[in-house]
This record gives sequence, structure tokens and C-alpha cells, in this order.
Amino acid sequence: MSSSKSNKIVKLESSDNKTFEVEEAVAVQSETLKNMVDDGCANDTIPLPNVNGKILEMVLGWCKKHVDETVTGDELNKYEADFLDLDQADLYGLLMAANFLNVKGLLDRVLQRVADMIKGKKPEEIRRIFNIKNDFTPEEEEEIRLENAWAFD
Amino acid sequence: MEEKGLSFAKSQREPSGINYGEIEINTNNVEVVTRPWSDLPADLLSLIADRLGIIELLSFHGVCKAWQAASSTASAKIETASNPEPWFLFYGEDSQCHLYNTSQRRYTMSIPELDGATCIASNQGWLLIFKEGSMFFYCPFSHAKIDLPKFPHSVLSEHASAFSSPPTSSECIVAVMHRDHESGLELYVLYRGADTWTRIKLDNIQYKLSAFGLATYKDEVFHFFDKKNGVVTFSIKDKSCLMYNIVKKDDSTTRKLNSTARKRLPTFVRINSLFVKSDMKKKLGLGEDVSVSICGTILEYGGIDNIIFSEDLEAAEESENHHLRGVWIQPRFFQVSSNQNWSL
Repeated sequence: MSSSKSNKIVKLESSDNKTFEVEEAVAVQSETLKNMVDDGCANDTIPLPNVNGKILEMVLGWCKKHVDETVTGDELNKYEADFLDLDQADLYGLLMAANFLNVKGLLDRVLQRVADMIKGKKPEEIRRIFNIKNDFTPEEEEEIRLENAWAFD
Repeated sequence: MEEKGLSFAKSQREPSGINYGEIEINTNNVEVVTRPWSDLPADLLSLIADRLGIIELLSFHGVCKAWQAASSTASAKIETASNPEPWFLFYGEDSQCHLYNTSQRRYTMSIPELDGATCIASNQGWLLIFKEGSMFFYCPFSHAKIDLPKFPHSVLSEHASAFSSPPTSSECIVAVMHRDHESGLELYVLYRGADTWTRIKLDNIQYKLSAFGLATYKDEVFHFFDKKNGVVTFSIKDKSCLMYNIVKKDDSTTRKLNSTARKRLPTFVRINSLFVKSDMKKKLGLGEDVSVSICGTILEYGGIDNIIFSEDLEAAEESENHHLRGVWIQPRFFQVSSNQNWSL
């Protein structure tokens, strides 16, 4: 089963019922899908109820690029940098999908992108960027402010 | 500066126009639930927190409760990975302390714990502090503190100390080399969970150490370096001390020594007078009437221990009051639970 033919196709269905067909070599960039292929569960369409079509298309695009032998190192670097230039909603979807599908290189890059977005920002700016509600009590906030005062003067 | 602080405390709750877990209809008329970032699984939040430097980690803690909880084990270890140089913490003027990062950017902190205190060891973000007879571990960035059993001397003379692992480890051992006119040379060892220090008296003639440089720990052995070529080792396995002279490996005299008289030390570089060589006195704006004591640290870089010796700089002019202190420190944010103490 694991000695796959290079033109074996894997079929995937996103949460919003879009279907995608990719070569097995592309699909197995995802450890999750690779395990399914190895276990012989990849003969029918694989449903992915927690990844929507837009995000799945992005992830598969990433996987395709990474198995393409004609792509140079420089081209790949540029592709990866442009790839992560996303709004926070898409970035969130991508992070969840990369984690669920376990596409290693992608997960690392997305985590780093989020870390980079946090760099140099105060808590209220981070909340604005990521649409996060401040659930600290005024007392808790004051405690945090006092602890952090030295770093943000 | 005052204003910025006030506006932080009074920050408004976010306007309700933003979606928090509500259904949003997108342009294709397909229902999409937008889940907020605070709902991100804790293990992913933790992976993000692990990639943050100390300043960013402090911000991360202040975003919301979920983010704060998920980052409880992140310690800003990445600071050392990206830049092995230590920060410098300058204290001794009441509680006001100045912190200098590797780009010489200055921060000011109020640290009451350091008022009247002396830092006697610094390693991987933990400081060992001696204050009026008490001894404790302290992380100045997070204010984490772990008290130790009382030290047998209420005043410290010459000292060099090291600890084997972070104080939160069940195997942490602390070793303090002490020398004064009355008691001579003594080695004090404290094991994790013990409530008293173990004292080992060392004969002054056999253990001929010059002015203390720094103490380190490696491969189950504590090393106490002086500023010349002397080193005393204490093995925690057989609990014995030995005195060595550091010599060049390929020296003709060395090669004549038989193998039992020689011992290979872990690869290290001794760095003396870093404070002076970095022109820190000028950068700190210190005058000639100020004396400074600096506690050194160990930087592990490329598999080699860079041992930054402690320094004692006398004032050019006689002055009783201006004795300031400094310590080379790696920035880390350690969080310990409130019931964390030295006992096991």
C-alpha cells in the first residue's frame, strides 16, 4: 500500500462541500492524510468537516508547491513569505487547518507569523488585531499593568 | 509616561461591532462561524508563547485570561537562542533598578527584594540573592521567589556560588564558597529539600585560591575558579574536594605529569573584566566616587561555557555610601506557584 504509484489521486471534501483532487504525493505532505493513506482509508473521498474550502485550497496549494521539483529555493522562500500575508481571520483558519492536517513546515511558519505580529505590540493593540475580548477585571488589569510597566514606558 | 499608564488601566472594552463567536454571513451567502483567537487551543497558544522574547511574552500575558493561562510555561528562552549576550541589571540605590538589554536600551524597575541585597550567583535567568542573612532564588522579570534555609553567616565576605539546575528542579544543589579572616575557607552545600546547609572546611594551605572569579557546575562537579589559575572542584558523587592549577594542555611540564595528576576540564573560556571592557561605568553614568560589585554569569554558546567573572571595582575617591551592585543576567520569565518552596 505504501509503495504508491505516482499518479494515485486523493479526494478531499471541505466543510462547505467543495471537493478537491490531488496527487497522493501532495496529500501526504499532511501527516494526518499520510496516516489515512497508509492505513488504506484513502480510497473514497475523505471528508474534512473542520476545514473550509478557501483554507483547504490554500493548504493544498502550499503542499503542491513543496513537492514541485522545478521550484527553486528562492522562489519557495518568496512563495512562503507572500503566502502568509493574510488577514487575521484567514490566518486563524490556516493555523487550525495546519495543526489538524499536521503539515509540519506550514504550522511552523504560521506560528512564527503570529509571533511576529505580536512583536512590539502592547496588549490592547494585540486585542485589536486579533479581535480578542478583554476579560480581565479592572483589578486584574491594574495588576498586569503594574507588572509590565517597566517594559512599556 | 504617567498618562500612558493611566490610559492602559482605563482601556475600554472593545466596541460590540466585532464578532465574538457570532455567525457571520459572507459574500457567498454561506454561514461561517468566526471563532475568536481567544478560543485557540491552549497547546497552539503555548507554541506561540514559546517563540516570544521577554517583552512580547509580557504583552501576551496581558491580552486575555486564556492567553495568560496558556503561556504559564513559556519563559522567553528564545532570548538566548537569538542573542547569547546577557542583559545587565544595576541595583543598590534603594529599590530603583536599571536594566540594560543587549542593545543598551535602558529600562527602569522597582524591585524591593533587591534593596539591601547582594546577588551571589546568576544562571539562565535565576538569581541567587543574599539579604541580611537570608538566602533566596529570585527572577526579577516575573518576581518569582523561592526562599532557602538560613545561611550560617549573617554577613558575607568573599564568596563564589553556583547552582546545579533551576531551583524548581527536584535535584537542585546550591554550593557557596566562603572565605573570611575568622573562619577561613569554607564550602557550604545545600541539597533540594534539605533544611540546613552542609559545611565543608577546607584547609587554607592545601586549597590556595587567589581572589574568587566565579563558580560553575558541569557534569556533576562544581568548579570554583579564582582569578589566576586556581580551581577547586567539588564532586557531588563522592562529595570530595580537589585543588587544581589550570595549565596549558600541550605544555611540556603538563605532559610529564601522570594521568592521575591531570584532569580535563569541560571546555570553557574565562572572561575577566567584562564590565570594565564594556565601558559600563560610563554607560551607567557613574562617577569616580562610586564602587561597584558585579556578579558574573555563565553563557553557554556553541557548546562552550563562557565564564564571566565577578568584578569588584573600587571607587577612585573614598566614599562610604556609594556602593552599587550589578549582575549579568539572561532575561527569563519564570512562573512558580505560590506554594512552591525549597522542600520536596
